[in-house]
Amino acid sequence: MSQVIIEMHNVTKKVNRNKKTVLHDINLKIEKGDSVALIGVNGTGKSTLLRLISGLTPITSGKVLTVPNLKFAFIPEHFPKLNMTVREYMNTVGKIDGLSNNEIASISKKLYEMFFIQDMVDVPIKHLSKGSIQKVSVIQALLKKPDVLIMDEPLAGQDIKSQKNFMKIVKELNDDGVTLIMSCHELFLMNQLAKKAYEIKGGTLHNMELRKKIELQKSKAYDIMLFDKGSGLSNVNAEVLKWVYDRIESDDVIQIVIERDKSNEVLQTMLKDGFILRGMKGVQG
Amino acid sequence: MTALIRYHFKTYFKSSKFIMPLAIYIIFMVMMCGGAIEDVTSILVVSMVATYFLMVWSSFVFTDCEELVAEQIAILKSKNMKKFYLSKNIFIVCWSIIYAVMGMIVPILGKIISLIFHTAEYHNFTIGNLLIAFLLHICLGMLGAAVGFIWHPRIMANRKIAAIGAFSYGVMGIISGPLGEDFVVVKFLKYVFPPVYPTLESLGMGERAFSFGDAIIPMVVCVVYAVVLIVINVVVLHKKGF
Repeated sequence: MSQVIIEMHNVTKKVNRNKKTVLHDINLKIEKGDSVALIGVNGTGKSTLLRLISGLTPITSGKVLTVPNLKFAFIPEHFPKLNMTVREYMNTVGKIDGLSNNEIASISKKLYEMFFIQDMVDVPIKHLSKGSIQKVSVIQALLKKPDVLIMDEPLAGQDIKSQKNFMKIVKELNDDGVTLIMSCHELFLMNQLAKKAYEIKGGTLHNMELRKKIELQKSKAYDIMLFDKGSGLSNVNAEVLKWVYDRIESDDVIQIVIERDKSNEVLQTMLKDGFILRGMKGVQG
Repeated sequence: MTALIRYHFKTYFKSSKFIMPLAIYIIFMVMMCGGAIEDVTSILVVSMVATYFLMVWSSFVFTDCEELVAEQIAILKSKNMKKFYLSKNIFIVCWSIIYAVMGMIVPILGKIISLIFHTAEYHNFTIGNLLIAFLLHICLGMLGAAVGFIWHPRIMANRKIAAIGAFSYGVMGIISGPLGEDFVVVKFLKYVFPPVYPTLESLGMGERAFSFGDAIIPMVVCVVYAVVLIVINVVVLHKKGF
């Protein structure tokens, strides 16, 4: 059994001078090497919970126990538009991480190439595109191997190749004992990375059952589509089901994985049946 | 700690917020140099006041420099929130020393000009006196830095009120002394507000000017007051979190 590194006992968080309860009765145990996903609609308190776990936000009541000297790395949802160039920023925060100049240079060079921003490192971060800024956000967290990697919507705005590389690095880190705690909306991607999942609903945590990881056929293209169930319709058309490679469902949303050459047909059928498209993404097996 | 101070240096100087206070300070000092003043004491008092106020301003804008998320990332990397905020305070105090050096440049330049062109005679211009004045500049610069920093956005979210507060609190440091002398009932105010007036007074005039014995206690009080503000600042920011 792995060592428990973070424990939360009956944690409550209130804001606005204790007028609003964001989270209550949160009980959570995170072991070393765990990979935990937090899902929930916007405003349910996912980011707040991540900050409570990392100690950035104080709790209102309850207890948070962590192993001493735990090193957290944080990939925020919205990395700020800084005046520093990418290289300047990495050099500066790398030093805070305790790395030498040579270490920063070699690690950052490898990461720039992995995320395809090697031509942008001398550009001020504020002048980069949204996706490139998110890559900077990821790279700064990976400069030095942390004990716990906290990720708040880490894939937002990234291209598919970078997402693939990111997931590969994160899986390797997890295999190497790094604990992952992430909030995300992409159920399918969460399934690929997480070993445990919790849904935040009504300010409390609910255990979620994870699907077994599905194996995509290599060299095939797939589309992931996320739908709201819309006007009470909850059953997916049998004709569509024939082409659904994988499906994850909750009360309000359904996410399906379709082979790309069937996407158009499936999309038209789902829309005709009253489902409301909320998102769509391409992936490669 | 060095890495954190370097980080704050980069953050501050990559923003444009340091320019205005610095520019105003330099313009003010150059204008002072243009006047025909015979006693260096009066120039030094004015430059000490300028150093104090411009540090309140610089420190105030420094607290607005950093993005919230960038701050969170840096805190997690340093593994210690208190250490992070202490490093911010140390950085701005170091910046106040630069201001103190600039505050001393005017009388030295004035002396050089007067020697070259045989203009005004600068009385009281000795190395010992300049050293005492420099120490007083540093103390007031440090006090100004601490006074400005206490109005951090997470302590006072409303920036208009914070600006008014920083200005008022800073000004009270100077006027609380004379107010207490004229109105005995408010004499206690000089112990509540920043001890700027007693520090300026300690520079002295006439025969008692630049007496180390007179200056040492106000200097110590100044530094202790600044340190207390810094400690309060670090503790409150740590407790409040994000």
